[in-house]
Amino acid sequence: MMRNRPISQPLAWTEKGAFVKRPRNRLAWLGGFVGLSLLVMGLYAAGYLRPARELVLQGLAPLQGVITSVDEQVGAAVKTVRDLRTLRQRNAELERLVDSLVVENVQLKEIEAENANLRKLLHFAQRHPFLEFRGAEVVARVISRDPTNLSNYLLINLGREHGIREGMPVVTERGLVGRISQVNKTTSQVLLITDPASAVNALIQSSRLTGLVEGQAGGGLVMNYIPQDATVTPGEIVITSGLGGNFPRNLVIGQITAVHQRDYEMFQKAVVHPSVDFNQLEQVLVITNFVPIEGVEDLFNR
Amino acid sequence: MTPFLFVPLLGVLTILQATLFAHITLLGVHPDLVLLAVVSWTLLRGLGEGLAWAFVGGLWIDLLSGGPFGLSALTLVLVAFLVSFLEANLFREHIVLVMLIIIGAGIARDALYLGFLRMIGQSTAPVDAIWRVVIPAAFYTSLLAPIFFPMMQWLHRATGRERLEW
Repeated sequence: MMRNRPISQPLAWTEKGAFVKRPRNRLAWLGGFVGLSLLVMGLYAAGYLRPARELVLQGLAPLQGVITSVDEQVGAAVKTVRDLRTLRQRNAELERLVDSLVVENVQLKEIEAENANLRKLLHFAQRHPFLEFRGAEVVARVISRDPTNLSNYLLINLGREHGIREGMPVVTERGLVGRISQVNKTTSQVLLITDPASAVNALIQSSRLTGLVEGQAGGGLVMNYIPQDATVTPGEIVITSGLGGNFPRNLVIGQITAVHQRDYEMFQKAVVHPSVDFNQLEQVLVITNFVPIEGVEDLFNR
Repeated sequence: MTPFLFVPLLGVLTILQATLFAHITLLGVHPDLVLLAVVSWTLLRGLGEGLAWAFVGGLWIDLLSGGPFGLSALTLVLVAFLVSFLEANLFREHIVLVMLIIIGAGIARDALYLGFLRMIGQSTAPVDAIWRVVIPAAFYTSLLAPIFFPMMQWLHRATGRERLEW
């Protein structure tokens, strides 16, 4: 009986507690909310809602930080309990390792000293300008991630008042993470290289072939626009080329895991496994003395 | 329910989704708590409140997301509208049906999102995204329904009783 009711006469609830009256005209309600959504999109694109958003994000940042911190502590505690199971076995292994590492450490110190001398001799700093950024790194803590699965952004706990600017590259010791796409007063949004909106000029370290590393939905990376006649093999390292002026040169992006070559296409493409584990990111470095070329920031003002 | 209490509730869900649940991934995706809440509430309360929840929940996601601002609100509103047609179904409280509705809603919501992204030139390989992200995320989200939907039913009963009119 109820299933035969026309949609325009739905079941009724008591209005106790209900703040919205039951709609009579469904399409009018839909139109109203769609219109509201489009209005919000338009107002934001025009810049009217940005200050409000910044204010809310600033207010939420401490809460996000606390939840992330609790999450990390719980994760660490769980990990500790798990580790206890294998602690005895590992202890014996580690004692053996310590003995060998002491010897290795002495050797490495020698190599380090030798390396430092070689760097001076070869003017390494001039040929690899990324090393100059060491003094300008700022450590930021990841306080939240993108709530959707289709975008790959991070929110970090540094903002305008810490000297962060749009376009600054973000890295970890393992390689390139992304770049600052939006700066608020105390937080900043990082566009990860795995986001489909991200594109990084890159080159294959050994062959010096250039291409464009683009993010894929699901967190993957693909290097496009590799010349068709070039030989590319899995295992090769991909680094930033510095072309375009968006990123410094020689930052590690990842390693090629597969190559897709079709005779009828102008270019071949390679699947790149990122060197950074984006699921485990807790702290990142923001390179503050790299100035991207003017106009690039406009890409992020959406 | 006290009017507008759902605003902070959806805010908390969004923050949990972006922090705690962002680490609890399955096949590289995390569950969409806001979608769960919006679909559940639309099934329980119908179009009017469902649209309000969808709009506010979408705005919360837009606040914390790097995607185009307002797009999550728009797509969730459209999904809530579609789900509202199932509100009057007698079997809406059967959990398997709810899970199936959530899978459909998740796929519809993300497909709409990708479609709009493509319209503004920000999406690459949408088919790939559907297989690698959209479908796994929809299934993962639906797995939480047996825990989440009863909580929403409790909230629904606690904030206003149902009375059938013949």
